Amino acid sequence: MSDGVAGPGAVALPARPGVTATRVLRAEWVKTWTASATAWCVAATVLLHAAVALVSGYNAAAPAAGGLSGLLSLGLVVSQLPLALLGVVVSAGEHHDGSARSTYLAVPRRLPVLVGRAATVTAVAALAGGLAVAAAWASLLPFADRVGVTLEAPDGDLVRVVAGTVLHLLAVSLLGLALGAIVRRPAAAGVVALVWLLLLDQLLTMLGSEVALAIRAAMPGWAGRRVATPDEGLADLVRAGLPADPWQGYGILVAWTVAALLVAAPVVRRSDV
Amino acid sequence: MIEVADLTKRYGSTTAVDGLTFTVRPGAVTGFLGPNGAGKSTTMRMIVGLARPTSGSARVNGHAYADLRAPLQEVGVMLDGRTVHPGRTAWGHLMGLARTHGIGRARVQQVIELAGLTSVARRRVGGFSLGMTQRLGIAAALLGDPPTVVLDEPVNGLDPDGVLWIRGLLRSLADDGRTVFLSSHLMSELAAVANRVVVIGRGVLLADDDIDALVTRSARDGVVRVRSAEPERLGRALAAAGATVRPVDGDLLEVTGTDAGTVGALAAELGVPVLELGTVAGTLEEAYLDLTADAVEYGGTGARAAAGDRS
Repeated sequence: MSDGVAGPGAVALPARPGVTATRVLRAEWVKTWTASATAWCVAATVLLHAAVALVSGYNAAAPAAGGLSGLLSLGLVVSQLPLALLGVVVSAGEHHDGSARSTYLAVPRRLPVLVGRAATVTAVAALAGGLAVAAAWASLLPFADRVGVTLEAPDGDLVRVVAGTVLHLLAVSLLGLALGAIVRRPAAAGVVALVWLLLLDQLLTMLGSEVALAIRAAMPGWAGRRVATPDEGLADLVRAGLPADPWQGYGILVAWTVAALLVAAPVVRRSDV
Repeated sequence: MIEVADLTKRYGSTTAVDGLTFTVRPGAVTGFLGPNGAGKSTTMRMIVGLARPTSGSARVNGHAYADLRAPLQEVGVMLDGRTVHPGRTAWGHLMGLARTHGIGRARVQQVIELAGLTSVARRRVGGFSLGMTQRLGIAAALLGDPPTVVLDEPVNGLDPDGVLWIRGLLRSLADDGRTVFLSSHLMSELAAVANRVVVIGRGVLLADDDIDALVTRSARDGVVRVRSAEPERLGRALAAAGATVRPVDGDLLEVTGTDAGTVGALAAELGVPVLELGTVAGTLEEAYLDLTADAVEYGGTGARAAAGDRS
């Protein structure tokens, strides 16, 4: 295309034209990191996680269960939610404002977009998880002299619990991503994530029957958090006759996440936008 | 080059697009006309892979859109409706698209200037007027300097300056040898810029022709209008000569089945003073109304009769 309005030497076209996985990842990476929702969700994760540690440290009258590991991971029940919602927004948000059409015009095979988003969300969740644990630890420092606060991990489970906290957040954000890609409406997918990861656990706990607790043990939020539960908490589960293996629990969460992503892939690839 | 073959899209029991077959060739501006709800947008979305055909196929530059290695450098697309995150800047939106193809910042800057968006490039798209949003859509379509462009209602919301600008742009793209395919429901706009036109109604192909040929086929093309001092006497004579005469108002007659020369000669023979004599040229609008008379999805009957001005 030599001349004319659009083509007087179109500049900066690539020497090797084509959509590649790396290029799509770069595009999705920048889009996600520059979206304001990302900053909000990371901030909410860190604040919620630290706030729970702060309140438990402040109120603890007796040594907290699980020691430092327990205090650092206690906030996970609520701090997992902003990251699950981030996953939802990253995949469903573009359907809400119509920009999914621009995205899929540029990448008509579509699956590289889902992969690029999964990689980006994983990185965001890793950062948020690391910051959340660090903020929780920092928020305990002012109460280091209180009986309920110990800055030591008695059983040497600290590494597993901290790593588990971050790993749980990673998987939960990917589960949110898959839900958003399947449902495509951010509000609806957000409600599903909230109910599934939090309210359902609470409801089943309240019911308390053997069946209810068995179902709860298979739910992603509950099972996944076992990897971030201190040894002392796991021992309680064993005494109650409940499944307690931390990595098996995390495996259940990962299985749910992989299943959801496998459902999401054909929806992303085939549906009209 | 766009080749659409037996393209069909059904939503449940509704058939939005019904066995469309047509080809859009390079080096010309091809208009895509049809009443609201005729299936224009659905057809365009199937051409560019956003909607899956129920059956049939659409190929761009010889390939299904999804099989293009660098789609933005093959087909520039501007869709009707929202396609941009309102929180992003024009620059950010275009960069996001450019990154997927490894297109550099300099090209993004170039299309921003081309579309006249330089002064607002760093502003959030949410605050854009409809005209600016349209210009951003054009900028996105031209990003990869594509040989084919597909534009859904590109003049919507543009001010007169913008309309002139886009006419010039489309013409120069076609003169470059590119394929230009644009939909519109504004006949006058298409007549001003298109060489060819594809007309659909209720998802069915009604015409695929040169604009001139289509206009010539319109019912009013070639109607002779004659204003004379004695319309009744002239009318009788014309009818006797085998023409069809329709009195319009006062001293004006519309005559079909003859030509202006014959009418003038007959009037001279009768000694009837002719005040005005001429041949009606068909318009795209009339040709279009003829074609789509039965295919209007959402019609106000009175308005349509008035627009057609036919008895």
